[in-house]
Amino acid sequence: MKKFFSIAALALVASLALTGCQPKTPADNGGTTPPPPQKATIIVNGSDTMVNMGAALAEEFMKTKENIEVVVSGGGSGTGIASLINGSCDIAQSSRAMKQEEKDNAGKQGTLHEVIVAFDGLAAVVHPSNPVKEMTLQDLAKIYRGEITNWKDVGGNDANIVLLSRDTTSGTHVFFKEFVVQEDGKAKGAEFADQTMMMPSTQAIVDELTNNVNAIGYVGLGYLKPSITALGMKANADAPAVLPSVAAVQDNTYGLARPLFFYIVGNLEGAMQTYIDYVLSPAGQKVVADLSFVPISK
Amino acid sequence: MKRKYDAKELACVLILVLAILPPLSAVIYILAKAAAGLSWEFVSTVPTQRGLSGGILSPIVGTLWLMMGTALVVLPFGVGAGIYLAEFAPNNRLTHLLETALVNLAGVPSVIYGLFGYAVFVVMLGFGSSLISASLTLAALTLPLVVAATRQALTDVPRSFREAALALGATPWQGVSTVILPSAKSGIITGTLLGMARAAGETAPILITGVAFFLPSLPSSFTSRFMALPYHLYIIATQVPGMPVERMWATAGTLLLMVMTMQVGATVWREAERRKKRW
Repeated sequence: MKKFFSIAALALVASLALTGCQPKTPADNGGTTPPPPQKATIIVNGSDTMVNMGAALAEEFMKTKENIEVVVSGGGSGTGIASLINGSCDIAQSSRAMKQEEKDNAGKQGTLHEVIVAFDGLAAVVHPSNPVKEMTLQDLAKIYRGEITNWKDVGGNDANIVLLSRDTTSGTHVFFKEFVVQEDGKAKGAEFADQTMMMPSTQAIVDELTNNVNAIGYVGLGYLKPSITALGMKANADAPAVLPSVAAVQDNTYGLARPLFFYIVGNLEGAMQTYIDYVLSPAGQKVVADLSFVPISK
Repeated sequence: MKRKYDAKELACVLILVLAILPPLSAVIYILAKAAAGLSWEFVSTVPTQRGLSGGILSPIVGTLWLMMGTALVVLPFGVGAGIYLAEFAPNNRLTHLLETALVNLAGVPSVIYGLFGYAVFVVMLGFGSSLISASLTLAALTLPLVVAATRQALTDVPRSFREAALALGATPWQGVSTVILPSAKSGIITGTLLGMARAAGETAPILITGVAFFLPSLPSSFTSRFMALPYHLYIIATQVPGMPVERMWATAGTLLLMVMTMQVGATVWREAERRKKRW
């Protein structure tokens, strides 16, 4: 019996030793051997919308900088921001701006930097045969809140509007809800109409739209294709309609667009500075544009 | 002489076939779809352009590391707990509480383990996002499986074995370590392998404890971050526009093959061992 417990204790110690005593960095090895030339590692975490872009930027960047490693993972904007605050990543990719509380928490760890690296433009889309070609952001909001339920109220056919949305796991859903449904704070607490169909992917929205003449949905600019029609957005009833396009997002005339952020805590120096400089450079912004995001204007 | 089946027996056979058909056809369908994209090159080169070119070596290696790390942690704890519960635990309320807790742990959604792992291993113990944190999280997830398998394997050893050992003057521990454990070895290892297979397929627990979508190099130690097949598949299927479907199928097929090899291997080996037994 005694032996059993000593063996169990041994196993416990062994597994703790295995897991707990790994040197955190090569510099921890007590100084007996000089550490090998250090590779700087930048850990990027956050938005699922941005994980593909982040990985593409990292891969292109490392083709030229062999002594810097950039590691990219997703999980969501909130995950990235939480990781940044408790120090388990170096850059939080976020498709929304940090909340004040998050900024305060991050600020306790060091200077917080907010860098806009690209834009995500959303397009409100309908079936090509729908006579409605433009509307105001307010009408779009009313439609998605269920206050307007018939196309004839916005100049279309006498038919019920079928609402399509991304599901709640999507950053696009959050942006659309806060920015359109809740009118960027003016209709606080407003929700999607009960009859909204929550789709698991943007592709599912596109598929449904091509088959349903009375449906309306929203997709990223990269998903626009001839089988669906993007609505022009008007700032108010009298303003001209602006069709979604890269130029219109960059010069801020198109209303339904959002910035995409890198958040960094601490001083921008060394490897981090080199990486941020690359992301904002023409080469980095070409990667952004190639992936159908809207590059920042220069 | 021809054996006659009655209606109830036939109904059972029919239900069995109906139950096996969907998963079996899913497996065959995935493997058939995967065959087109699978090649030696695909499994032996690292992904480039977010998986649009290159192969899936890094996620495969990451998943292997993960299974190894999980086994290293779960074996001592799971087998130890299983031995204690089967052989030494007194029949009292504390033991019943432990057993109930274990059964319930097996039913906890895997994403909860992920949050637990993040809070405890990544943040509180400071292991950071790494193979250690993810392995420990998956070990916690598979622990109930390994404990249950160990316990069952030990309980299956006939009582007469214990009595014979005691009658020959062995202490209870000597009996367990020299007679009971060797007899139960195959059941324990099978349970652990099934746990590994489960761990290999999980996404939620590793999502926030150490997996990365893009890594420039293969993991070199348990402090490294890593890529893993389930997460790689999830991202290439949902976040990388223009990803050819053959690549998704091939990735899914590889994961399925890895997991199935372990499960089938474990089962075949257990049956072979069982046939050697004379009880």
